Amino acid sequence: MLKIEKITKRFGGVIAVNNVSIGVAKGEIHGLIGPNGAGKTTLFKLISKVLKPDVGRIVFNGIDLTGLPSYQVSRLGIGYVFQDSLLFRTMTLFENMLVCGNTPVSSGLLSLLPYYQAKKEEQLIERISEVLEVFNLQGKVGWYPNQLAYGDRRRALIARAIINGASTLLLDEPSGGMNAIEREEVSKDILELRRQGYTIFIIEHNLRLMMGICDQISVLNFGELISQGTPENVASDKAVIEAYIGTKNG
Amino acid sequence: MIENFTTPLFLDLLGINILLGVSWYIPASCGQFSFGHCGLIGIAAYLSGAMTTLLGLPFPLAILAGMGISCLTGILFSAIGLKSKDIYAAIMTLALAQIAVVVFKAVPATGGIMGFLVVPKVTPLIVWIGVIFCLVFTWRLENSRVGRTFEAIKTSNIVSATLGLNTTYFKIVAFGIGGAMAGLAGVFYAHCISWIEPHTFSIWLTVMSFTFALVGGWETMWGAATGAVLLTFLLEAFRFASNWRPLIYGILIMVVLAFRPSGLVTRGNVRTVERFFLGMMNRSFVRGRKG
Amino acid sequence: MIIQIVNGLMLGSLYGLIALGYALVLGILGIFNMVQADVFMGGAVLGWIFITKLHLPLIMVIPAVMAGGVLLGLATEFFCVRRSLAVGSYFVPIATTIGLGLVLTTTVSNWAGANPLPISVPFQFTQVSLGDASFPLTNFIVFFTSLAIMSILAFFLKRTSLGLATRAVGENPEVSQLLGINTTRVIQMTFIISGVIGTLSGLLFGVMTGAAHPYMGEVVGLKGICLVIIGGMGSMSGAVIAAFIGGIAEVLTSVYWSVKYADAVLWLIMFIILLFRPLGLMGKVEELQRLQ
Repeated sequence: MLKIEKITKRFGGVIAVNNVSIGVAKGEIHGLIGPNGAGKTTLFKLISKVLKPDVGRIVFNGIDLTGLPSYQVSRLGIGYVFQDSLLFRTMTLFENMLVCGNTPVSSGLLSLLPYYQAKKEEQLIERISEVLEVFNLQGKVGWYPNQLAYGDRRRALIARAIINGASTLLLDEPSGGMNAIEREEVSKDILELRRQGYTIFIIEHNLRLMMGICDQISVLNFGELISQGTPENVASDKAVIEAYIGTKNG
Repeated sequence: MIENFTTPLFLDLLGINILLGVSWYIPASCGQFSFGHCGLIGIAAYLSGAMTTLLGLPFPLAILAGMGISCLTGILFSAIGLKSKDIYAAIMTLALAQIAVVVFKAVPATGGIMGFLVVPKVTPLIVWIGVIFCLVFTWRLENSRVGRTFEAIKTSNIVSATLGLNTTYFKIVAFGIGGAMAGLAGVFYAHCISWIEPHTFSIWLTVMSFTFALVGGWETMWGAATGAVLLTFLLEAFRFASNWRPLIYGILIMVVLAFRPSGLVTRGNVRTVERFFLGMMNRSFVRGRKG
Repeated sequence: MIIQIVNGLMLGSLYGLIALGYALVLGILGIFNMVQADVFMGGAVLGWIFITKLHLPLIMVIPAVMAGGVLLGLATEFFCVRRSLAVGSYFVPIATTIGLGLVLTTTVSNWAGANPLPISVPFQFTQVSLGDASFPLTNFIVFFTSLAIMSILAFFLKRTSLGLATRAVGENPEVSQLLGINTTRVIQMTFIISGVIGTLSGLLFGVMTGAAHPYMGEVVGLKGICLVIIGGMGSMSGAVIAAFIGGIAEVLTSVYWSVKYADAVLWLIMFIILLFRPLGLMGKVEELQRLQ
């Protein structure tokens, strides 16, 4: 349950996000749409604490995220896949999945002890296998990212976030750069994730994809929330149509 | 104590330090960092010293030769490094400095490890003529297209390249000009302290140069000059603690860079001062504007 | 000639440790940690303090020196690196580390004087013979200890999750944060490890040469940087290989040419390698993109 309360963010004289309040219910797929530059990615960065909000706060599962550093927000169970997220190039797919900070083992002194490592790793490895099965990547664990197809890489990023222990996923343009077939795959994966109980907050430009899978949609324009509701309501909202005149998607 | 500040030696060193700071600042204004400044200084010092002392050539010729060789060496070493990445140019200058010291130690004609005495002593007047010349030159450079290109490259190498600027050429030019100025400093240095030995041109000179520029402010030439002046006066005032000089430098670097990363004198400061002077000159024109 | 090559390998093993100290920080942050040279000196000075002045047994000296390394590493991270990284220019952290280095060398040289500080261990003058040649025992100890430390480090980077986290932070700190990795903690650990390696290599050097002195770090430290570049920035194995080659080259130069040129030969090698192979022996293009 993610509650964004009256968030405002300014960059110098520009107001990137203006008094936005959104509630994402548990287990729902919530879409965030709006023209380019509307502040969608900025909002995600505010949630992940890459940027700090000037006004307002964010509450996740009852915990106030104000003042928490980025890595702690991740450890609470929010997973991110940004447009410029990348797999680690020098690691195999499997090693990429192993990199996670959600276990206390990763950054503390204990991590230097191989035996303690080994037990935690067994559990982790099982989990990795399960998740990769879902994404159909199990056969490619030894591959390096530059050997994987683009679609596989994007899905691997989502897998990595899940293995990291995320219960809520923030996806920024997961179908960016994909063709129609790959986009169908992404839709199916996201619906499957919802079926397994994950909450998904998703930014997308492809409106058809959004209309197809979202339970609720919020619309941003110039940093302000101009509409919110079910896909049908939003699609027929005049303000939304006005905002989108001139864009090609739809 | 004031007498300390008016000896010819102090005035010479003050001028030389300004040259050191500004000569380091010029490649820095292009995003290039000369790790081996001491080598550029040393080469010019040795060459000009040898020319006047061992060969009896006239001093002006020695000045030109010193500036020339440092300029060329700076160009050569940075060009080789820039074939790969910027940081390699900096590393190549470091290599230059290391190799230079070994060469100084090995050449018997200039006294090897013991060094030698350089004959014509330079007067503060000549030094300061050189300093003023370089300051004016740099000031013109900053405000020219070349200077603005330097700034563009420093701000974003990649964007400048995509805008069609031959970044490598400009970086090499920056090293060349910085090198020439370092060479001038080296020539003056040799003819001012008179006894030069390989040990004089250790990495400490590089540290001095970049401390002046970084602490003083590396966004503008005025910063480097201010840093040089401030630090020279400061260290002279604390002469009794000369053993701790490097420590003072070290702490200054760490503290200033932690709290004011662009140095003490920022571009904003310089603009404010410029506007003040402009305001005094064009009072009626400026009145009513917010600035 | 073989004897000299063996000597070179031994020197090279020590150079390998020194180069790795630099390579670790370079790999995770993309900067040259100029304090490393003085951490090296610090290790030797600590060796003098513990062995010569306090007469502690070696069993206690080694952990004490390692503890010194931990402290120096943490100090470097806190004073020099934490605030400077945000600036965006790679030179600012280098300048602050040079600053800290100046503080260390000046303090030590004012406190301990200009003369070398002797370090003597009971087995200092023991010789070991291989065939007709005899080598000092200390050299053997240095060699095998260095190899051991390097292997432990390799194991750490490849096989532990902190090692994996270190590689992750080195490659992409933002994404690592989003995966829940506490990047500050990981950076601190890297500095701690590089500090420990630094002081240990200083101790080994001090034992091998029998003395410590405040400016011993300068020349050796710069050689370490040179070796990291020859090996290729971002490559640990490259640094080690370059170190061995460099050690052999230096010994051969001083024996067959002249001692005066031994110090410069590494820089000459670097110069030549950069001419023909700009990325170093094992450098990869992608690694460099991040270091810009």
